[in-house]
Amino acid sequence: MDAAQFSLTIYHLFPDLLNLYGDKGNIAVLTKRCAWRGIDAQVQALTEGQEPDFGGADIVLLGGGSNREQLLLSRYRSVVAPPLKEYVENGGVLLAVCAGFQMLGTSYEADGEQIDCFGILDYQTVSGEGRLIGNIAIEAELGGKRMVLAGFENHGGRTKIGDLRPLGRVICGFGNDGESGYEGVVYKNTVATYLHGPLLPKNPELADFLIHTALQRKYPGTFAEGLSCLDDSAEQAAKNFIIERELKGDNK
Amino acid sequence: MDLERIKLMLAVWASRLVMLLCRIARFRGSALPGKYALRLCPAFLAAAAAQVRKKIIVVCGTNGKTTTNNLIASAAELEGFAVVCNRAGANMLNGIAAAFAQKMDFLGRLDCDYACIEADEATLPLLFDHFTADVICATNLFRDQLDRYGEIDIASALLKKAFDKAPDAVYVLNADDPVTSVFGNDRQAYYYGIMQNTALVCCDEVRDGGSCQLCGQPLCYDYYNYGQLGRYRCAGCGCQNPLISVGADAIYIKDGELDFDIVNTGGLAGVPPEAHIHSGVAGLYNVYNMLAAYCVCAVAGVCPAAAAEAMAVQQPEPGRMSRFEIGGKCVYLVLSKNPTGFNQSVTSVLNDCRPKDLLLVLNDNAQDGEDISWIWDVDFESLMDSGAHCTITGQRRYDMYLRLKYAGYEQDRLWVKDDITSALAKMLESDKNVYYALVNYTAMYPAYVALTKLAQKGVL
Repeated sequence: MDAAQFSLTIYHLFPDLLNLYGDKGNIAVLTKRCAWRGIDAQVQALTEGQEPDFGGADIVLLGGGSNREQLLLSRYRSVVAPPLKEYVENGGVLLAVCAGFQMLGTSYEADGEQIDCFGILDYQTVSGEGRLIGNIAIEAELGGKRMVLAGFENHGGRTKIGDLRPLGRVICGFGNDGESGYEGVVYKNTVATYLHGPLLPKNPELADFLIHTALQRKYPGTFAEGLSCLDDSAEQAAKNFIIERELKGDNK
Repeated sequence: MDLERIKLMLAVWASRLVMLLCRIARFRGSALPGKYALRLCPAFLAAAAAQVRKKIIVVCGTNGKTTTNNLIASAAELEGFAVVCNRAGANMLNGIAAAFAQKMDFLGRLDCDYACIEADEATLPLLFDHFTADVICATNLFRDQLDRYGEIDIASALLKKAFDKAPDAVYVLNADDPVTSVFGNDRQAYYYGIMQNTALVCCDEVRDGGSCQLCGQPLCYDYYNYGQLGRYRCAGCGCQNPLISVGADAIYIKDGELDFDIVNTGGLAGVPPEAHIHSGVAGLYNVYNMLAAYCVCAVAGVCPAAAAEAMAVQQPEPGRMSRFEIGGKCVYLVLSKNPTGFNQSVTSVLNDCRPKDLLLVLNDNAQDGEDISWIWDVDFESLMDSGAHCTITGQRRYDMYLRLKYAGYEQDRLWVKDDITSALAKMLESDKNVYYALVNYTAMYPAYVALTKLAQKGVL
């Protein structure tokens, strides 16, 4: 089948509020990795004051922001949460990062201030003593493939995901709460993680999982053998640098 | 002689000894001597500050601290005042203590009219436990080293905490920055700003402070100068650029030269109605630095004419557009340590029409900020049209390579090298005559040394 007939729409939620840590990188990686395979990728943004429309969305992104911006975002709860919940339950592909991860839960108690989150998944976040900051590597399994993901985390909130499935196990770093050894959450085709900002450039496996899942959902019966391979040697070099240095415990 | 005086003297002796040893060992430690001073005499900073005869001036903010603070110090020195200044930009407690210790005699006596101190955001609340300032200048707040401060709101909270400890200070604030100008509410404050839409060739930026600091509503902008600096108004609570005391008008930037007028718009005593400024250090950010320094001088009792004179002879701080001549080629070294600063560097490159190539150096040491996510907020896409080739090095060279790869740079325009020497050699191989080296904090000094060596050799 000719790839040119395939297209995906990336729906970026509130880029004007949740854009703290270079989320632009995730958009660039998704669109470029589609384009390099001849798949057309369009980006649409949901901005403040607009009616959400998940009808044409194939991959939804929810990025990082500060507590203050999360509080502003919670004003849109009644407008955004119902259609987003329906999208997630129907198996829509969603990547939620950092503040986005927290916003998918039911609530975030930030230094005594209660922030109403979207309540898409049943977990809570509570801020703890000190922030959990640093490079992080996790061992994850997505779509039956094992992969090591590396990135940077920076969060004051501790998230307890209860019986939900974590994205992975922490190799080095803090993860959801700094104690359980778990990182992120996976529910149907939703992936949420504290690996913040531009996590896809260094983790092309995750980017391709999102693209592949979105394509299979939109075009059933296609891409059974997966996506065509790309040269990811620079991506792996960037990732391995972090993992090797952290595992060595080497302070540079 | 009381015990405190003995401790103070010991502190001065110890730090001077460490300074001497550092010099002998050719170790570039601008903060280390202060560490020993504070260890031996915890009240060292208070004892030093108490001896300042006229004013203690503190400059804080994300970008422009060092340049602004050094301009103020130079102006005061030109007027014949004795000045203490942490010129090298060592802006935590140890570095500030070292600056005082260096100017003390061996009895712990300080001959100082003005202390010009730049302070790091996280240090400021601690510093004000030792002494407070008479004049405080906040230049701006941008996203910077997020892994140290968490979020821009945390940096803002740190400043507020510090300012609450200095209720009697006079504040000098950037009217065009909606994030820091609100610090003037309920405080005695003077503001500076740019009076025109400069409309330079600009790049796309992610902007902080897009919503009102007071009520949270989105801000409406007539125009941006850079970052979130510009002409804004809040539709919710009506807050907008405060009225300025000094403003910049008729700004003209070309081929690395800068001309503009500083206008006295607020009736500040002792300030002429208009002063023309010429500088060899271009960049809109430098206009803000100069306005800030000019306004601080006027408020602190330093003659503004001396400030204007200091600006005219201003040499760039190392790595702030330092120029190197190497075998007939010209290399500019530009410290680019956070997205706003980096985008200003990109703007400088874009406004230079000569054909050029680039060197990019990205480290992630503690002083750089270990989180390098911000490179994705830099507009490398606009740079791509310049056709420049990029040589990349530094600890996080592969992350920088990915940034450019996903910006759409063809692979034959990019080279990755393991160290600064081979990266410079590779870059200078091309047939261009102009180069820009954009480097972050800990990459700056090694790049400066390597470029100085090449410039001294004079040939490639």
